[in-house]
Amino acid sequence: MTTEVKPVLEIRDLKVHFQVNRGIVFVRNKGSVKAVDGVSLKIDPRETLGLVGESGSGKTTVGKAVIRLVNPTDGEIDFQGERVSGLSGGALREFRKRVGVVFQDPFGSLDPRMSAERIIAEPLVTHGLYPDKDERRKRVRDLLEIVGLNANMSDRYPHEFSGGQRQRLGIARAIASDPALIILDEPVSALDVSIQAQVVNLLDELQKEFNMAYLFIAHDLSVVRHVSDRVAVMYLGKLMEVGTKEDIYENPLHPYTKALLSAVPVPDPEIESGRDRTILYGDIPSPTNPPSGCVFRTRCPLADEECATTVPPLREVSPGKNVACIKV
Amino acid sequence: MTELSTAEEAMTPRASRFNMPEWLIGLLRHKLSVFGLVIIFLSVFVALSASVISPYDPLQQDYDNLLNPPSFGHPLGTDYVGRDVTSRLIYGTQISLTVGLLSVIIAALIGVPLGVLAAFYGGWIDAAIMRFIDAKMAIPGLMLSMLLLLTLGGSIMTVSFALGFGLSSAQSRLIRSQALSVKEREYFQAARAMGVSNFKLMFIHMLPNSIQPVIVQASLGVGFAILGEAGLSFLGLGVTPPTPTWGNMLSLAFDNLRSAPHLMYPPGIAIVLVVISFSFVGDGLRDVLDPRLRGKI
Amino acid sequence: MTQTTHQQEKLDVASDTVLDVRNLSTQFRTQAGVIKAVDNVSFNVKEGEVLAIVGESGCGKSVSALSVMRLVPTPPGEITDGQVLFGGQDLLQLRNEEMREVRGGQIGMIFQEPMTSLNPVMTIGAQIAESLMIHKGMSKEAALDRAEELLISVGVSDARLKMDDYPHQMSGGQRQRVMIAIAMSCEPKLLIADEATTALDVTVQAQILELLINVTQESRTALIIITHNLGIVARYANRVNVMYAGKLRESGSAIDVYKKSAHPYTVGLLGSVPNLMASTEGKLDSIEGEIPDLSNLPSGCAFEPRCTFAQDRCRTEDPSLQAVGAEHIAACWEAEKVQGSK
Repeated sequence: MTTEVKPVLEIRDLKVHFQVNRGIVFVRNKGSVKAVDGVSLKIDPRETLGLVGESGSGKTTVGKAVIRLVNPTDGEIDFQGERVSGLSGGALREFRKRVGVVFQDPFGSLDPRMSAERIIAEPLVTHGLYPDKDERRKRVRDLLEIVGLNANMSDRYPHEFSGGQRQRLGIARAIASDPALIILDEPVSALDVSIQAQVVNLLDELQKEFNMAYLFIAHDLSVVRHVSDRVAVMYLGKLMEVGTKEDIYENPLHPYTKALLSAVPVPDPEIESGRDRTILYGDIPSPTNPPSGCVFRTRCPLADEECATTVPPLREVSPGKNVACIKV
Repeated sequence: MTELSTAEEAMTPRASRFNMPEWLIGLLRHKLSVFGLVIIFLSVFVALSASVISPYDPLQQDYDNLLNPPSFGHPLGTDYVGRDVTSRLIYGTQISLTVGLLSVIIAALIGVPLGVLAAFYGGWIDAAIMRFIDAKMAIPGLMLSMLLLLTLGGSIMTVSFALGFGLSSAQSRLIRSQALSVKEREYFQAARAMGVSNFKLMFIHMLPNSIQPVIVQASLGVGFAILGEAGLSFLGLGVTPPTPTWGNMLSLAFDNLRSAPHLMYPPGIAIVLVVISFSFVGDGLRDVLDPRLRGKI
Repeated sequence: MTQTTHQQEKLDVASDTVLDVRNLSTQFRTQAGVIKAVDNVSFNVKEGEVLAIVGESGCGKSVSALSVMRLVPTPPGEITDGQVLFGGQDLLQLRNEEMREVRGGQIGMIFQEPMTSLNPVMTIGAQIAESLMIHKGMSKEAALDRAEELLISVGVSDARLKMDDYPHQMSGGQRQRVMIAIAMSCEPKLLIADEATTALDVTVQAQILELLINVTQESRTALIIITHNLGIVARYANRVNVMYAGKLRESGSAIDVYKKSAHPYTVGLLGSVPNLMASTEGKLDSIEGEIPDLSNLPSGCAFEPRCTFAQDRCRTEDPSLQAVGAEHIAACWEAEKVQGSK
């Protein structure tokens, strides 16, 4: 294991700050929202990194910043060893060819005026893949079958598909250009439980078959445990803890990770009756006005004065295991 | 994978099976729209075949028959220089419909790209476009058209441009607000994340998903433009006489209101009928195209 | 007094049963045909008990609660059959003004999105007080004082200050606390929480659920939790009703339903949820196929097309609920086999 594997994606000190402005002619700056504030992550080939957090944690913004749906304020993003932050024009398009995105809402993520065929063909057309029309059509039909849909459904429109089928279409579109990485932004949270499991299984199969890496962004901790190799926990724009899924789920160190895990009820009445519950008090603070020092300190059972003044760095406590807390 | 149920399939007619688009089927179930469509088709027919069906030359003066009431020879009477009102009404249909349609086409050509650009780019481009439109809307429409016509002179083209320019503001605002909501939709984000070019983003994703209310607005706009043309002609600023338009016919009828009141009715009724027809069709389109109602009418 | 006793005898309701729903059916007339959203569903809930109704979208769990409250939009909806026995009377027979007394008075309800149930232009304090003035006939001053106490009891910090806030100034969790305060203000006998925590973040969801359980247990109020989250059910419910395609498929104590599941759908649902407590590899035991279209249900058992236990008989005969254990019922021909397979 001495050969260093080159990560598919490496994010260093990513910051995404949104300016909150009022007025158009006389612009007044009303401060900024630090949606993502100094996040560093890496994803190896064929690996799934789960990115979990509650609303306002900035997990979705990380994904959007990678694919440049929002512009990073600061930080570096490398893709397969090449710097991609700051790219524009053709180079940005070339990068986007190698990264697929699947969105949360199976009802909103497909253009209602396009047939399934056009939806899946769009990335092919955009990147000049399969220029021959018949070959492109064949590729679209293949993709439909790969994601478990009937190839004869290619002339249907999104409203003629069920939620689960639509999400399969979105996945077919994401893998159409043979990407090395797929950003999955809450890909199953809008689906019913039984359909959720089907899509999770499909994603699992596709990853093995096409050797893709996943950035799996979700709030459902059970699903993240099932799909991920490593997990990163975010809170108010910052990373709280990063480690292998065993690290995070079996031996969580950060008080936020612990609280988050104990807040999730598991579908087993026997286990539930004997479980400790750490109920966090209070609400998630507004990202416009985050607490000083450690952002979690206002709800943290371990917090003291030191936490109000010291911003805890994300430090490595054992190989591959990182925690941002001065109390552990 | 289960196939979609047969019932669901039966509910969603396909173009291939019916040869008629879904919106047209819906529209034909809308009674007032059908009335409107009939009137509009009739007017178009009259306009296209004006030279065949009109009994006289609309410009031919006849000083023996001035301000005649309706008679067998002149079913709608004659005007103050003895021109046949029937023929003038028929030729007027040509001008009024042309002005009406041309105006909304011009309005869409100016308004739609501006609205899409404003929504897509946002920031100072949006601000500049919208302030320009606000400034334009601050001047009353009729006054704006009058100013333009005083400088350009009255012809079909200039009148249409003047009216279309005025109507374009509403089109821009409408499409901008629609396009802004499309911009937030995930399918738009998905296309952007895929690397689709700005031009395609605007005209393949944004425009088709924002155009419906514009189409409704345009069909209502035709009636509005016909009225506008009539108003301008009434004020002596429309298409230059002697070319007959419903507006200048009305204007002349007003001059002879006491001696020949019957001259009011033909252009008046024609305007009312056609304007109402376009607004019926517009209302029908709005109902049919409303995605919340789609499939339920 | 005699009359009440007489009625109770006639309706044969156990004394500690708060709500007894019998053979409830609710239909919706749509362009696609008649949809049986709730089809011949019976259940009851006792004093101090927590009943969970679980299922996926379109299974009828919300419509059955709305039917109990007589809040089904009519038309297109219509309660076509059944009895809803509550406090010695059939709610379906009440006049509208009598039903208004029951709603918000004896039965409280909390929805997923509190913003739609709260009046955006009224302060929080005024809204809680309003409910007290209507249902309890309190004076304004007394109602406002009581409103503040209630806000404190549902864990709103700075209750005095929050009394003058408008709904949009509060977070989702705070608003849900206000909804609980309003629902509990008239000391109802029954509280229905319809996906009340679905829109909330996990840590806030846990707070709100604990609060719901605490306030209802304290006053022995019966609680019906309607949810799709099997974890919430396992953590809080005494009894569970599993619904699918408008019908009740399995019902019993939480332990029985989870540990001795007798309906293949219950088994499939539980298999679809990844395990939080252990690392799992490979595939989830998902249920194949799609949730059926209610306007076009298969004949026989509606779950048959997705069922791994299905026999020929399932395609033609719809199984009725039968006992599969003590106070444990399921609607499946193969219930024994299903239970044996676990």
